[in-house]
Amino acid sequence: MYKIVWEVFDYGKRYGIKNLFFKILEQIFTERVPSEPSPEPPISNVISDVFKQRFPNIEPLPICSYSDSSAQINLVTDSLLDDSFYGGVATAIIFAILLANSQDKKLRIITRHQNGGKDNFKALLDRENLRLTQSVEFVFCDLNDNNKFIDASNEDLFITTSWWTTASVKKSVPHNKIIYILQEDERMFYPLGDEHLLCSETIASPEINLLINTKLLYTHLINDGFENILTNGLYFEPSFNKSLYIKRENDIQKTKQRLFFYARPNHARNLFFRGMEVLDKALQLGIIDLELWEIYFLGTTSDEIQFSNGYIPKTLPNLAWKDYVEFLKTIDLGLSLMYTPHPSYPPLDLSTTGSVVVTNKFKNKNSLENYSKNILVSDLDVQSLVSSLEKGIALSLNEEQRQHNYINNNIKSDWNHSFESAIKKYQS
Amino acid sequence: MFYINTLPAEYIEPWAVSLENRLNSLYSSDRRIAYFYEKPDCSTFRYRVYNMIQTIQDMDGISATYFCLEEINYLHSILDSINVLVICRARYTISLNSLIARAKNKGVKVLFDLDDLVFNTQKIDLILHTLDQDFNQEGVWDHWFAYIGRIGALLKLCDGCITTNTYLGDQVKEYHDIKTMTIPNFLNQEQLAISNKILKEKLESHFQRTDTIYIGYFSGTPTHNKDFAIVVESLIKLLEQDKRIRLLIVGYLELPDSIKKFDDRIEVYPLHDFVNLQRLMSLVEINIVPLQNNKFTNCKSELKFFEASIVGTLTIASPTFTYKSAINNAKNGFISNDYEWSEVLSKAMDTLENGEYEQMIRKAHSDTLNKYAWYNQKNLLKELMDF
Repeated sequence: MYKIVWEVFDYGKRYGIKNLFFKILEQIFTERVPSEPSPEPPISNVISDVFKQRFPNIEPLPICSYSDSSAQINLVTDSLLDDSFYGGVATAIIFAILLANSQDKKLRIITRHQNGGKDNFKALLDRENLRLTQSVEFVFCDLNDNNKFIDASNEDLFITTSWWTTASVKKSVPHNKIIYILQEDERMFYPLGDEHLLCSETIASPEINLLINTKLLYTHLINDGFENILTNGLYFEPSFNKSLYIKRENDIQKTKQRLFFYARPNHARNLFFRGMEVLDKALQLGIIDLELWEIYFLGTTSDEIQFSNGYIPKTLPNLAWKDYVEFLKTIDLGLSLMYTPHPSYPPLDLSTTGSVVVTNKFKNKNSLENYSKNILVSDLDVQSLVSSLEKGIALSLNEEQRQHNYINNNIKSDWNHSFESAIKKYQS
Repeated sequence: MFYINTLPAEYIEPWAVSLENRLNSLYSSDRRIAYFYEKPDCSTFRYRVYNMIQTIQDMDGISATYFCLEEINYLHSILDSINVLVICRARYTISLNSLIARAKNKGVKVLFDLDDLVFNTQKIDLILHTLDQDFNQEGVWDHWFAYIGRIGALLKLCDGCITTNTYLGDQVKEYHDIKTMTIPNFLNQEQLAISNKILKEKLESHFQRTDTIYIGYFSGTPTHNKDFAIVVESLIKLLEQDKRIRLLIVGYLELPDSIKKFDDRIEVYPLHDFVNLQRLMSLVEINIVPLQNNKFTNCKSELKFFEASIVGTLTIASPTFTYKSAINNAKNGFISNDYEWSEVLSKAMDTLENGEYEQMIRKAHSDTLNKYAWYNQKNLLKELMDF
């Protein structure tokens, strides 16, 4: 108190009473100004925490060893919920089931991001007519829960479904017990940076088994220098259960030909905007005759887009798999882009129903005729794509040729055949 | 929900009998079995000690009674008068060690009785994992290693082991090479009395019910979070789709947040005594028993099936060892794999509409009486004397 009185007296003596008065007002006013919001609690700067915060997905899978754990087949993925249960996860699950059955072992599905999705698993079993010889256990090993542990015997096999699940598992189990199902050049998900580097390093892991979706992707990766794939890699061609895709012409009620566009603006590799440019140009040029055709956007967008000529296509976002396939059966022509080496599933889905598809070239993806002559592969410039779309329209309307190509499709339809060599190899 | 007129019964613990009276019962026959259990309770003690004694007392030429820890001195003093000593799920102490040593020296056969995989410390990880225990708590490890280690130590001192099923028996043999026999859990006289009355009501009213459909989950211990988690997703889906659905939960359960939005359709009751529990079970249309499938849960008994069946309630259970052998799928109940609950719940609900419910209940009831009524266990219990 004495100190405050002395400071006031000293200020008044030096700057005068008037200034002292204003100084006191300033102090009072300043104190009434609301203080800045308190900052977020400090984030740990310990190096291990920094990594954990930046890359939680690749923290080691928390395993433990029970005295008498019996060997199981494990599948590690992010989630089985609808948003994640696309072709890739379903393919991995089918492989896991067939592998578990072939070794008469229990299957354990470990999710790291979300719990649930058992109904999707059941629907997959029913749709593919699969049965388990042993039981299946669903474990949600939450990345954020430090009280979760996975008991693993020395003989457990781990099927991983992405570079990050692989990177996490490889920190905890012998590398030769990992089967990494690689269904895309996952490096292409990222700009050049840490994720890209970590992904590249994971794919290049010398002792991990890589099971690669399509020969195209397999060849591309080898061409790109992943020599480990020559020794530890296998590829498989995916299957499309024909019975699910058979068109029943009588069931299809439509007044116009249908053009499908795989519209996923949030998935950069699907080139949503290039596809729109192409459709717009084709409409401008009259290549797509709206008297004859109607356009559907299937994928994730629900936004109504108006083309230059005022036409607004119909959008069917986020269809359940069954509804998606039912709708595909009504399609005559598809435009489905994929800016990676993998053919992607929609062109194969569509050609299994008998439709014509236009997709794009990428590196060694120069032709998909080995799957179906109804799949036209185009350069990515707008003019080439518009031209391919024109060819696609002509082929689509040429019933005889289209049917001939369809009959001669070379798309696998039995997952047992797709995974035959892989299952034989991992048996040992 | 079924219309049941039987009112809740006034409950008195039937085993609360003075030591004097119990000793009189024991001496009522020449061949005598003494049971030891640390402290009577409504779960293991009821099924493994009380029910056994009640049935034995109805048999010719054999008698039985129980002693608890505070009566161990009495037990020491009557070793000369008994033929068989059954130690039920007790923890090692030096005085029990001494009791067993003295009993054996006097020619008394000493048997251990087990209803759970709780004797082998090598299974602790599995047990803690199944029971959703906190691995990061030192106290958890101290407790479980001590608890299971002590039970295992006592088991090793005995001449043989009685288990609730053969799966558990095999686990015992793997741990300690000892002779085993199976006596399943079964329904006692009090349970059957109230259940018969309720079932009669249901049959006479042709299973008359309200428009709501109750799914019941009856949890005896506070360790079933992971089991309930198996079915939560399907229950949520069902609650969303069908406004008639209600959940009735009895006992300990930490409801997951995801299902709490249906609070107004979930009724939670505290643990009930075993007689009135039968009445509560009879109210629901469907009794669910989701269980993880591992060595620990495969040792569990099928009691949730027969407790429900005897009061005319249909059960859906996971395919563990005992439930798989008790339930003839789609005949006297339903078996559901983890990923099938939505479908199986729907099937079970369909039986209410298509008339199959009553048919399945009749089958479940008759199977239950044949296999799990107290009076059908006498031959097995007779074998105890010659074990």
